Amino acid sequence: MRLYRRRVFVRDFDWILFLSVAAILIFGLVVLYSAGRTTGSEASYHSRQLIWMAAGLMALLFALVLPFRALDGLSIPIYGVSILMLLFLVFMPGRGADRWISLGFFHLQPSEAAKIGLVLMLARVLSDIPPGRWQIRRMIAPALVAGVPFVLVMRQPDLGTSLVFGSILLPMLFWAGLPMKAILLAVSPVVGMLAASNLWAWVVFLLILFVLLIVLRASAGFISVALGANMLVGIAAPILWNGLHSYQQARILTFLDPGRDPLGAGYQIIQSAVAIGSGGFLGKGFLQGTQKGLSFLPEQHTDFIFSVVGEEFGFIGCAGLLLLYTIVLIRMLQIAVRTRNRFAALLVIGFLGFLSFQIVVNVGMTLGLVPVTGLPLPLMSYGGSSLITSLFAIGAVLSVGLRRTRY
Amino acid sequence: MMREIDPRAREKGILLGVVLLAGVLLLIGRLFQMQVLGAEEYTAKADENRIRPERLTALRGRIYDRTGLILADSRPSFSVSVIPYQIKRDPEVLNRLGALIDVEPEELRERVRRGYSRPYEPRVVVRDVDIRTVSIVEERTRELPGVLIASEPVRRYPQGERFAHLLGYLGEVSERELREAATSGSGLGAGSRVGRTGLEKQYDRRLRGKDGVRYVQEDARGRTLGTLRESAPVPGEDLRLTVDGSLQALSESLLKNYMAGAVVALDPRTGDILVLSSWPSFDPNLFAVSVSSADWDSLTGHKQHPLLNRTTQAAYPPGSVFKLITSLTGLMEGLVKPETRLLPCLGSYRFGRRVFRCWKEEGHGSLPLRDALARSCDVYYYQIGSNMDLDRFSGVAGDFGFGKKTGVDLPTERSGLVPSKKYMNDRYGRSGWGPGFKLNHSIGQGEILTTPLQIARYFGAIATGSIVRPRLLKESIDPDGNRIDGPESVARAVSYTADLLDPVRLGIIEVVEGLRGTGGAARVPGIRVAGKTGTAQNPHGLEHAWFVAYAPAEQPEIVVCVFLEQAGHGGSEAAPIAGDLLRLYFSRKRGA
Repeated sequence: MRLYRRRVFVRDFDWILFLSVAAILIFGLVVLYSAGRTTGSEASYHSRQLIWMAAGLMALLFALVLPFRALDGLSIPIYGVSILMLLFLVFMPGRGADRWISLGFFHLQPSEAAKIGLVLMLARVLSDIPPGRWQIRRMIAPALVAGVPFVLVMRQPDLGTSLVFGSILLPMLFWAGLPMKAILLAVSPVVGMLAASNLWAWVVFLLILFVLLIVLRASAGFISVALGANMLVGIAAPILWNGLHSYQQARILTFLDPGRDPLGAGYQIIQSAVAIGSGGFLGKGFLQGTQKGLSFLPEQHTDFIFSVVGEEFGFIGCAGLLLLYTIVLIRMLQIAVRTRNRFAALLVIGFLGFLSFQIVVNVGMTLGLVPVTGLPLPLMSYGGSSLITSLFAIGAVLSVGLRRTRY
Repeated sequence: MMREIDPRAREKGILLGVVLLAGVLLLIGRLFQMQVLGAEEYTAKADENRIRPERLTALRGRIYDRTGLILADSRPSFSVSVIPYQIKRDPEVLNRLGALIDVEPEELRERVRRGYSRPYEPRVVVRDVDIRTVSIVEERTRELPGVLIASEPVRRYPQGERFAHLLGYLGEVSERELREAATSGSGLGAGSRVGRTGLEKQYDRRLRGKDGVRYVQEDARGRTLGTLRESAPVPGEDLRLTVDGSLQALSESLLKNYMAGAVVALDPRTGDILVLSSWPSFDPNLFAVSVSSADWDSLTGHKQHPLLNRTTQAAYPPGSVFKLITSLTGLMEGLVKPETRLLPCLGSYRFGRRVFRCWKEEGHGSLPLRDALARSCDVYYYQIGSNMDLDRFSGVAGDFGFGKKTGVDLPTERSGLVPSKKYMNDRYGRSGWGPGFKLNHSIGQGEILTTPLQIARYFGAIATGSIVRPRLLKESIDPDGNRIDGPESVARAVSYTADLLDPVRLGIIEVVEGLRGTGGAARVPGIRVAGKTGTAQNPHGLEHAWFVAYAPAEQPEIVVCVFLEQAGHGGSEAAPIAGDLLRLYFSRKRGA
């Protein structure tokens, strides 16, 4: 199998996907330059991001040249090491809230490595299950594989990132052939938990769930299990709520009503909305953002980078950027559909899952649609770990695309 | 390779694609709503109702001496600040402001520019203005959008230059520090004043406290609409030092008669520093607001470098003060015994082809150790020096803390130098130096460099048999009145038993109390004092005068070290100062 004959490479390499990613990266540097301009750190962000970008492109290249049988082999080591690092964070004495391991020049975020590890590991586990007949016991292994990093990251405590693991698990289960009603069973308690804050909302939710289950032709036994489980969740929700950290409670409440805390967590949402909204259709222009320079948005180079896009490049810039992301995601989806190898397809779906989740949740957060979760915008936000992870994922997807006909 | 075609792949792909597109469309819809339909409303919000955080400077902690004398506190003052982005909008404001407060608009513009990287944080342009200026500016706020009057505490040092080197001074935080502070969460803001030297730097975090913040809502013209919320500043901790104000005052007044010098006094049992004085000095009040360039130039251009803390930041040859180290080396190596007399001193010593002189031309005759120390006979020490092992010598010196920092709680300290064989080989080459160099080392000359603090600590170790880490902070007191101990008192026993130390101690008692001792000027009525003089040759001019003493000789509780730059003989110049300090110390103790 000579994979690297140039004509085959040129023909099968997904140039549209790659060039869209490149365009986002370049745009990201431009925005980072601007984001740094008014905070007095003009020397650091964009130039340091350039170094991470070089490292990220190496990761992309590495994933690209690696045959995915090798990726299959790497799944256990990568998953294992990332879990060990997460454990290290949990048990590291006296540094409870830290989410990274300091390597001096670099803050390694084990949760980023765990995303890759989980995708590889789930693809391995799920591709061993033949499509067709699904049984509950087949879900035990995937649930355990996803559950361990979920719980460890939850303990950091980082609610946003632990939900990312859910965004990997669910699409992969779906792709592996889990029936819709089973997914409904898995997702409904989460939605139910939110609905449980209000009695009427909860009752309406249970009714909708019941109707959906009828439509999906679930058996009477299945329906009673699903409804029963949700009843339990509804009762447990207030108890769980009290178990959340107060800042997590504050974030959720502030999301529901930003005016509640105009100077704390709600402040970021309001300021971000004002920055984006005042950008208007065409934006205020590169380096011209007036809200950007405020100390109001302390995370404008990381989590709130999209606010800077909104203010300086307007609706055109935002929509253009989202279009680029959409192209990337749809191309990834196409690669998954065309691939004849189950492991490879699951791999792509897993990467697609966390990238799309982070994009939608991060942008939604700056627009005030989603609570402030502390998730970075892939390929744009400042930070080495996230960038390297995203580019590794893209490299693996490109590799699947390149070899799709070979398997 | 297995080829398995997933028959439902297309179907599933379409479903996922729809979910994805729905998500993206939701975002675009919201963007459209905000940026196209709602743009005007948000633009108005962005322009007209800004919430500006305003820093409330925390009161910096006070500093007291051990008796409660105030060495540093703060006084209220008013300052004029400017918000850079509003000035950019209306550049005329600076011209008007300049005319009102009598400052060149160009000068104001320059000060604003320095802060431009944080355009929304008020930038102080004139500090410590008088109340008349305050009222003039306050009356015209309408013509001066973006100009603010703020009250802020200003540091005050009531004792002037007396404690300048140990207290240090403040300076305005730099852009780089601000950037670093942003990640470390130290709570610094543009215009914050931080300790630059001395204890102000060493304990900056404790002294600084935590600034508060007030959120001010204002309109596009910078007019305040109201205060939304504020968190009160938390004052810094007060520091209570180990130094003794009246001893410090006396040492300053005595040092003033000389060109340059330093005095250190400490308690050899705990390491508590009682006096740390360096001359010439400066007035730290010059730095409290912002040092003028004329003052700065005169301080840095001064020939004697008044900013230099001579007690810790400068190292000098110790001269004969170092002879205790040579004595211990000789005793340990068995080169001398306490009672043996060496070859007689006839005013000089011939070593190979060279002649090494004793300071006393007519010679001392044949002496035992005690008299050699008391009369500081160089020839006696040349004889030890020529036979001793250099690494053994530097090992003894190292044990008494030479060649390394004392660990005192001050931010910058020199470690001095004690040459080992390796050092000499590296510096001069293996064959570039011979035993003759050791003769110089044996009388504290040559490459040896020490700080006055090191000398004081070393003498304390001779006195008690254990070497301490000197400290200036006794305790700090937080705003709630809780006492927090200063640096732990650390003492390490030196590795010399009493039978080695005692002969040396007898010798240095003789220095002060003996009829022919060189340090008689340091006698204290009723108290036995042990001391050693030093007259260090200095290639740049007159000799440096040293004197170091501890007392009472039987139960040492104070060490005094006096160093005078290019002042001549230790016995005639430095010893009287140490005597005055010891006499004050013991007379006060008796009076109490």
